[in-house]
Amino acid sequence: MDIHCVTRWSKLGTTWEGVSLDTLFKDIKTDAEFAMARSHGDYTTDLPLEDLMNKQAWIAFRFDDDDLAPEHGGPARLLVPHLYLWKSAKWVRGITLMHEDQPGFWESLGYHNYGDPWREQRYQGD
Amino acid sequence: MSSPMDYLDGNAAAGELSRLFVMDITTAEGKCAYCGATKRFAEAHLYMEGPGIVARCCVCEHVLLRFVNGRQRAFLDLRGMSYLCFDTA
Amino acid sequence: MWRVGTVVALHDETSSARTITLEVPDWPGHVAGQHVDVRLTASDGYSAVRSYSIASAPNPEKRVEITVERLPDGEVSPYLTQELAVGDRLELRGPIGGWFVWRTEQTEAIQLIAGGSGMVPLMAMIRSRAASGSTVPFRLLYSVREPGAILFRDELEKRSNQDRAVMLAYAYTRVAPKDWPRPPGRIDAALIAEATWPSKLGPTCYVCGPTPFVEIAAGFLSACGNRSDKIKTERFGPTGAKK
Repeated sequence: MDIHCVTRWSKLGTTWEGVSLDTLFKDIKTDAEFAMARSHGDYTTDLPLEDLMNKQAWIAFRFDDDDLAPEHGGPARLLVPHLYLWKSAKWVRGITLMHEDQPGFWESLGYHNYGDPWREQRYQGD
Repeated sequence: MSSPMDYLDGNAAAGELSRLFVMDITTAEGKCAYCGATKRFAEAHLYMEGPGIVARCCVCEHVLLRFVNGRQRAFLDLRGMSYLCFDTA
Repeated sequence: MWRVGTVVALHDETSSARTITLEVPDWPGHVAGQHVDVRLTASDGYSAVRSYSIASAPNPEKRVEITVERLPDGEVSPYLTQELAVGDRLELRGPIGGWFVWRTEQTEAIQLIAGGSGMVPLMAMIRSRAASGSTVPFRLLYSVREPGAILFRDELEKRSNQDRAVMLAYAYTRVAPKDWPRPPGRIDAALIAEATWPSKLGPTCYVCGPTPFVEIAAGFLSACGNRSDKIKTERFGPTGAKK
């Protein structure tokens, strides 16, 4: 991975460092519309691929000038600030592209499939 | 995995689960569906910082139980256990 | 499910821990080792629930005491230890738990191992033993950072002085009193071997404190020959959501 693609940005007084999904997926050609982020501990969360693109998502590995600590999702976590926080999968180890959406770990147990905070989509049926 | 030792135990989930279980769950014996270990639910590794409760086998760390307290519905997934055995004496 | 308790007394145990005495009119009674869930609801409807071990022995007065340690970035503990006043009301659920309990009918020797605020449910057991007139021998190993952090210090001294069957040993992890025979440090196998009941007595052991402490102490107890079904554990830790 090219280190120079790493970006730093601040949000709500904290500074994160990571690689955007646009950079990571730069050379990927796909007609898949969905993605499943997979984490250690068998946690998964599903998102539309378009929500990971266009400067909306990063794989973050540093926080406030330090390596991302395990309790904050380190060594690497997905960061998708425009959706509810459970979509920002901690301890991420892979992203699987899918043609059809499948609910992830919490989505299959009552959490909303998309999770737009502006529409207060926390639980299924919201 | 979450950071080492970043868990509690089955005792910590007993209050939330008492809404669903009439009997005390901490003394119930559960058999892990993955590794077969049979332990008291009090000994399960309990993770409560996510959107819900996750109990994991203290031997193999596979998920035993998941619980979500939604707005008007609560979800419980017990597939990680072959059984939960309560002393009804 | 949720009962309402009224604060009738507050008592600072240390500079960061406070005991809250609640009167709960419909309290069904409890057993030493059980805990309650406390729920605080803000005016905007946001609520937070935290578990606290009951510190008091079972009693007929419908009184429940919890001893709360103030956590530096806690959401609930600063309010409970610094703002809650006599006359205020708290919602509580409980008593909860049937595994990590000591019942007065038990006759075997008891080993208690506390790390920091893990002392609270074990204190309920010591108090319950005294209130019931039980003569079962209790041994306590209490690990704290420094002398100022000891919870229930005066009462523990008094009980162990007055009753030969209640034995008390401290272990200091950061700062020990002057002339203390053991330099400050974490509990180790040697300390467990020397300060706990021999496993051949078949004691029931109760270990309570932060998770790493409990894992280490339980591991040593096991290594000393105590069977795993004789070692009961309760892990304490922050439960507020980490982002």
